[in-house]
Amino acid sequence: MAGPWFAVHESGSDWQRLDHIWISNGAEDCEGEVEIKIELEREQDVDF
Amino acid sequence: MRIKYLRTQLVLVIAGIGLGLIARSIFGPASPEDQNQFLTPSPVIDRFDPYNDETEDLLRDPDSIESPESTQSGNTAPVARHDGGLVPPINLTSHMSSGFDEAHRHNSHSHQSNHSSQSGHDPSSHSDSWDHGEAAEFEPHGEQLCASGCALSRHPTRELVAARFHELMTAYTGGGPGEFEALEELLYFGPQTQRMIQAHGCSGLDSDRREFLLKQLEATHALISIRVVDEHGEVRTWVDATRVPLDRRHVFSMETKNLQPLVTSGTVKRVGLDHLWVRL
Repeated sequence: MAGPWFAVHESGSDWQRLDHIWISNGAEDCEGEVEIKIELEREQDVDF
Repeated sequence: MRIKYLRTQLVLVIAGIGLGLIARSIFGPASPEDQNQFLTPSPVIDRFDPYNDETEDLLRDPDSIESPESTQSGNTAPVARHDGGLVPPINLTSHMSSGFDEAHRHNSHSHQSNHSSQSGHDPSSHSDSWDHGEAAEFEPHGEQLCASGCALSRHPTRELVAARFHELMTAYTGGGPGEFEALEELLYFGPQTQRMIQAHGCSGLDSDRREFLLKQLEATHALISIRVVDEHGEVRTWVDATRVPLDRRHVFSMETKNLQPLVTSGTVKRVGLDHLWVRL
C-alpha cells in the first residue's frame, strides 16, 4: 500500500511525479516513481 | 535444574512487567489521539484539505497560481477563499449509492433523478454524465454527499451561497483586478455555479464572458493516466488515459508488468481554469 498523494496538475501537461516508492513483487525489489497525467475534457477553449 | 529454569523464567517475567510499569509511569499512557493518528490519512488530508477551516494558513493565495507541485504530504491547490464554515454534508441513504456505478457505466441517468429527488439536492445540473472508462469503478467512501456532488466522500466542498455567487459574478463582470480569480472560483464550485446560474441567471455578464463561463462549466470529466516507473526506466504498473467524472472517487484497475495485481483509487476535482486537484 502506498499513498495517499495529493497534487495539483495543470491540465494537459506532461507526466508529473508524485512520489518515490519501493516496488517489490516478492522476489525482486527496486525503486520506482509514481507519476500522473491529467487532462480536462473540454471543447476547444474560447480565449479568456 | 528444572526448578532453577522455572525460577529464572519467573524472574524474567516479573522484571518485564516491572519495566513496563516504570515506562508507563515515565511516559504516561498513549492518548486516543496518539493511537489513531496513523490509522487514517485524515490528518494529512485535513491539513491540506482546501475545504477545511484549519488549513486557511496553509492555503496558497489564489492570486499566485504557480507551477503544479506535488508531494506525498502536500497539496498546493490554488483554491479560493471561503466565507463561512463547512455546510453540513447532505446525508443519503445507502441504497442511493448502490447501483450508481452500474447505471452510469452505461451512461444511464435513472439513478441521477432518483438521487436528486430523494436528497432534495441535484448533484449535477450539467450534462450529469457520470460515465467513466472501463478501467475505473465508482466507489464512494461514505454516505454523505457534499454540496458539489462529490462522490460521497469525506472531503466536502463548501456550499456556494447566493451572496458569494453574486460577489463572484460581479468581480468576473467587472474586468478589473480579481476577475480571473473570480472565474477560477466559479469553476471551482462547478456544479454549484451552474445551479446558481439557473436560479439567478447571469445577465450581468457580457456575451463573451457568459459564453466562456458556460462553456467551461460544461467540462465534467477528465482523462487521468497513472504509472509507476522503476529505476531501470521500465513501466511496471499503469492505467492508460481513463475517463472519469470530476469530484467522484473511483478505483482504477492497474495493468502490471512483473508485479502482483493492484488498484489505485482517487478523485479528481477542478480547482481552476486549467488546474485539477487529485487525491490518490
